[in-house]
Amino acid sequence: MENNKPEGKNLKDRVLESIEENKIHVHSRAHFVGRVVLLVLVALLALTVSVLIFSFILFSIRISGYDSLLGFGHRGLLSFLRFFPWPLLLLDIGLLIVLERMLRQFRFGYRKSVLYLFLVLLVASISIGFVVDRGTGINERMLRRADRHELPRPFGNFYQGARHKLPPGSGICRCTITAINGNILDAQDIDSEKPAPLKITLSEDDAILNSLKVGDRVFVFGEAGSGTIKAIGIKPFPGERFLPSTSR
Amino acid sequence: MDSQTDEAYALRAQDDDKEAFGVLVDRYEAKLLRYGRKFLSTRQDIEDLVQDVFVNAYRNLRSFDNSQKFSPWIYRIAHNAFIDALRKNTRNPLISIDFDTFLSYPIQDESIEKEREQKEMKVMIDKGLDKISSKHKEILILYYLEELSYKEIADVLRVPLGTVSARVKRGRDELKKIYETMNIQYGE
Repeated sequence: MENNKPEGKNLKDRVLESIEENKIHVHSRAHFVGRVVLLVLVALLALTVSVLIFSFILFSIRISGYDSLLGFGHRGLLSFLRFFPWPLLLLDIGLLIVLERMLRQFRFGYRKSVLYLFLVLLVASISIGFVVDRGTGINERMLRRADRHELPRPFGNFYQGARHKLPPGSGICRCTITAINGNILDAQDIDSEKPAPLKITLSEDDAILNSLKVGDRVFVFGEAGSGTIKAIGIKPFPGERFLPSTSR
Repeated sequence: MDSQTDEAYALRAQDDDKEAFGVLVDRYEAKLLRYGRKFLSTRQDIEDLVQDVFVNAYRNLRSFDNSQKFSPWIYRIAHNAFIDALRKNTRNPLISIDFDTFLSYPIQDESIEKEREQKEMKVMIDKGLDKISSKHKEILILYYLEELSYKEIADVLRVPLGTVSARVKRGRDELKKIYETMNIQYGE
């Protein structure tokens, strides 16, 4: 607004004159209510997307078997960190930062420290994401639809990518046991398009040897050689039912 | 008419009572001009901005929640206007990040400090010590000159209560140090 200053008019007079002359457009209460509603809707949308992303991260770790790496010592942990979907996590954290900025428009938001509010949002997002993944089965249904090519291309590829095709020489194998010879397992790599026989060597006193049988699907982590893996850890493969139907 | 609270006048102004809004202008004009003097140096700039503050306040009057105090609400509008003007006047209008809002700070008891130091601090700040940093200057003005409470300042600046308390303490400490370097006894 232009501040015209006619001689003799004080500040109050100038303000009231502008009001009297209807130069000031007064926002209605509905305008402010609408703004708040819009902000709340956008915040809910951001939270929903964040929850779905966390849900997907947890799902992909689960079906790929990567969560097993956490039980394989510090080397397993390092591999877990290497294969963790960091770009998705960074995207989600960016979304939570935006959400936090929105919530700071409200008293309950700015009365808390930035770190506190962010941690609350992070914990809430991960927790709800966990419940969505385990409780609703939405990710499993989406993966099945992706396998049947029923999802639009970017989403279909996204979900099929949750299985995390293993890079060669990673020392990780999702395998089917074809023979057991003492502490050496003959196995078939599930992820290979062509049959890829593998020899997996366990330590002789590994207790799991007593429970394994031919036909079992296992997740193995160890030192990769040429067609061999010296296993550091081995677990039944939990994501078996999420394999494409051709691999079952 | 003057015995009514700011909030009562604001409620009437929301129902298009322009006289009621005029009372609010009367009550806050001097305060906002004094507040603006700490941000900008030119009297004309300050008056123009304060006029804009009142115009914005009238334009957005229906966003004021009458269950809250009017004072922090209008100071919030003024704060935004002065900060925007400061940013336009600086050569490097970078986005500033308030790092002291990242963590929680303990809230010091206001009442004891305020009673004891009110007069002393008013004199010190009013002497126009420009050496103090703008972040601390603003909080000292709001707390000691405008006599807002921690809660009210938190609503003006939109920061946690602990941050307000920490900034008041740091501002006070900074002012004392400046006085010491100028060889002035604190409280003179």
